[in-house]
Amino acid sequence: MSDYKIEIKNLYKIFGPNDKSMVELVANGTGKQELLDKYGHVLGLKNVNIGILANSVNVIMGLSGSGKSTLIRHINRLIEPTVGEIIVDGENVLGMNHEKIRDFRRFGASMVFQKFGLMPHRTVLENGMYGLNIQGMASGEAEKQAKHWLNRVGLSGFEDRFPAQLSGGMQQRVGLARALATDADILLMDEAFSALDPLIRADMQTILLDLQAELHKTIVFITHDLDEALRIGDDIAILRDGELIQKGTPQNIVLKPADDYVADFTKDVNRARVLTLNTLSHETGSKEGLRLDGDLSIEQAMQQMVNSEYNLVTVMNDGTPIGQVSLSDMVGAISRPDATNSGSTTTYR
Amino acid sequence: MNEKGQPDVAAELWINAVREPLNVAMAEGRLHSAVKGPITDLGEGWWIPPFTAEKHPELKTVLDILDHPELFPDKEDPSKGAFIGCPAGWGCQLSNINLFRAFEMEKKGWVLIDPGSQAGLDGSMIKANERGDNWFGYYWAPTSMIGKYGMKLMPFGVPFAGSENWDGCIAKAEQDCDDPKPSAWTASEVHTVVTDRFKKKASVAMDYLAKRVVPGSVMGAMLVFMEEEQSDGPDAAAEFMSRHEDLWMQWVPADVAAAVKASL
Amino acid sequence: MGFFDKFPAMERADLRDLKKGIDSSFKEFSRSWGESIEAFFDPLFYFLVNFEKLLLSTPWPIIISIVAGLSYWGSRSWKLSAGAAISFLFIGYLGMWDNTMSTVALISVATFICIALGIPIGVAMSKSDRLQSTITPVLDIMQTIPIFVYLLPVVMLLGIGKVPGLIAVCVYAMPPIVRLTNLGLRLVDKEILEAADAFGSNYRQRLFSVQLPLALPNIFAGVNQTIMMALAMVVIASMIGVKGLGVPVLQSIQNQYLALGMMNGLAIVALAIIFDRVSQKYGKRLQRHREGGSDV
Repeated sequence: MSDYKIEIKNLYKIFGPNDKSMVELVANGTGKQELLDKYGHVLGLKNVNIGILANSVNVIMGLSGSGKSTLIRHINRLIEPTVGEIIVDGENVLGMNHEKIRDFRRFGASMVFQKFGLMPHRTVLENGMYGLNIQGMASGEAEKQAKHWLNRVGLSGFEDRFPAQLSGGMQQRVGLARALATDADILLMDEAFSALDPLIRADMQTILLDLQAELHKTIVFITHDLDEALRIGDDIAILRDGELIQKGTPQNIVLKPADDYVADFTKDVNRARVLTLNTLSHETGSKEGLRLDGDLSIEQAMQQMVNSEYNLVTVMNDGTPIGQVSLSDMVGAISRPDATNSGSTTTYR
Repeated sequence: MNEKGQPDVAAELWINAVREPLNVAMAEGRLHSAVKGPITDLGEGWWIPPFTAEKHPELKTVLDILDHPELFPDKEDPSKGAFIGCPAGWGCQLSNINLFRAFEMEKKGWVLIDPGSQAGLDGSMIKANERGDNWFGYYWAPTSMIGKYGMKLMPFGVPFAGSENWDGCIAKAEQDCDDPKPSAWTASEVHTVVTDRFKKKASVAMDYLAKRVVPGSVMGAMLVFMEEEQSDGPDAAAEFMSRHEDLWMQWVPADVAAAVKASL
Repeated sequence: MGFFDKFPAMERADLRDLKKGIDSSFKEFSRSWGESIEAFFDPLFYFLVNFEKLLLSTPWPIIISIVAGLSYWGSRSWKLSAGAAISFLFIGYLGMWDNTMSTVALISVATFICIALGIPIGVAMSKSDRLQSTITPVLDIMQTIPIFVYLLPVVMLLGIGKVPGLIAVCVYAMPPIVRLTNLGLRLVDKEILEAADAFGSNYRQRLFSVQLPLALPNIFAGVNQTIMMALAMVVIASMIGVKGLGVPVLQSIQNQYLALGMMNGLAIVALAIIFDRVSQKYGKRLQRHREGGSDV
């Protein structure tokens, strides 16, 4: 078995009455606009192949219209694909019958929504219990579990409120607790924090990262915000017009954007915060300088260096030095977009 | 017509309901009767279907029927007999209520059913006749309903108990009629009534109206014809002209009759 | 030019034959099926008869207590509850008690039937656009067809009295609950439905725990309208021999008994107001969550 919890293979989604017959056209290079103008069909996803790492935060990123929300809904089949496969734990989700897909949604994958998707007529507690009710869990047990997860997201004492009485951030905590309560391995998060204010969004990211450090869920996180992707993603996939453009670690994306589209995306990123010492480290043989852990970001490293006498860092990994990074390396990495076609002025919408 | 002098002719005015204002108008010379009884054999009363009469020959009068409520069970309370009265709000409703009291029908095991409207009254009679159920209730003739089903008018078995009883009690509201006496139905008086203006201007027509008397059986048959053939007034008139030449030829001078016949 | 001057109507004779054909086939139908159809409605008929008898035989103080109690249970408002009790006292004092009980019996049963049939129909309509486009014109017909058009056939089939009255009332009063159930369900937020799906709800779970509760405001508006329309039909129902407040109204129309008509008319209005307010408040109470933010 691979390390992938979910494998998306050759997935096409075309919206329209004759979607199946359009696949070949698209596969042969008919573009989104042409498909719409000539054939009246809308291209959703084109030949997407992505492996979702188990126990990691997998970010799928793209602008609106890139197909990211369509993609995530294929995983629990809220949207039926045109063709393709989605293998979860060795089983093709797209081959499941109604009964099975329902069980998969109840026990295998839970979901958090951009606009929260809370039931306005149910209290916070009842919302937290929703997935468990659907699972058929006895209400006493469900209540206990829901309370536990509401507590974990910091909502103790709000159990009897209705969603409309809560702020957006608190509502999304309910949404998160509801999704966690079902104990599913897979957590699908569709722009879960996009509707929140920046400060609250950062809060929620922290909560998610803290929980993830403990729970090790397989999280598929959709966002259009690169900062968010870089902060929480273990792995990032970038979509454009329904096609996968690049997939890799945050450092990888920032340091080696696959094309102008990605480069443009990463242009305004605070690279000091994304890049770690590990990525800049190179073997010099020397062990001088400030000894710092390789997982530190450049920003953190620079702060430490300012407080010390050194302008050279020896990068440590589990107590052993693996290489060095100089201050000028750091400045260079932050300031110089290192894309293959640097200097490009191409811009995307 | 009384107030506005329009229309000029009321071809068939049942005057029981409007006796008082009509009397005044006639006394003042605003309205005139062209003929009394333009239709014969007409009247109101209590009827049963022909098959009921056939099956139960012992039912010869209303009094006989009143002893057998069990033959006309009420659906809501089958221990009672159902007497279908006259729709709420009609003049005949009061007469039926008071006669119901006069004959002590409640004591004899009857309930008075208010059919609510002519649709209700007709519907209930049609249903009974189509299904062969016994039916006992109020209606009037000549009508297509009576003619079509051959409904039997039941003699009351008591004489008309005087117009004082009728006009002073039976025809009034229940609270104004303390002591109704059993009575046959009052004779229905029907006139063709015309306005003074019409009488003065159209003496030829007045002659025609004075002679125009239609036998009840002919009228009933024509009404049945109209209903069965779904025909309207002009159709029925044409049918009447061709069927009953003998009748209408009498109503107009011979030369006119000949001219009309030629134009048919 | 003759073609344009005169409408190319069917030949008179053909038209007459067509009408005769329809009439006689209906009579034939009534003869052969009338009794079975009547028997089909018998349980409903006896229920209605007995319900009315129960209301009429229950001592008035108990009825008034029940009315006040139900009003309070529905609305949680002492004012409304007292108002209902006082209305009934007035009704009784003015000699309209029996007719009012008959009307209450008819309206309660009619409303119950309309809801019991209307909501499932509305639910089915909300699921299928095809069904919606089929049923909507039927509802239009039910609401606009002149009542007498179907009153006579119904009476010919079922006789006069309660059942045809009930049918007439329901034909007219059911469309709003069907329409508003359908509308309410269709207006439920798609995101919330998606959330329900994403957690693996089956159809029943989705319907009962999400769709119906969220459609309640519209459904209740429908119930309300249904009750109002049923009450509006009381007079019409009495035209086919249904006892109740409509009878004196009819009587007063033709005989110009102004006071009689007014009093019975007002009794109908009083019933309408009580039914309306109580059902509305009850509906609101079921939707506490809409009073968002009040206790934060």
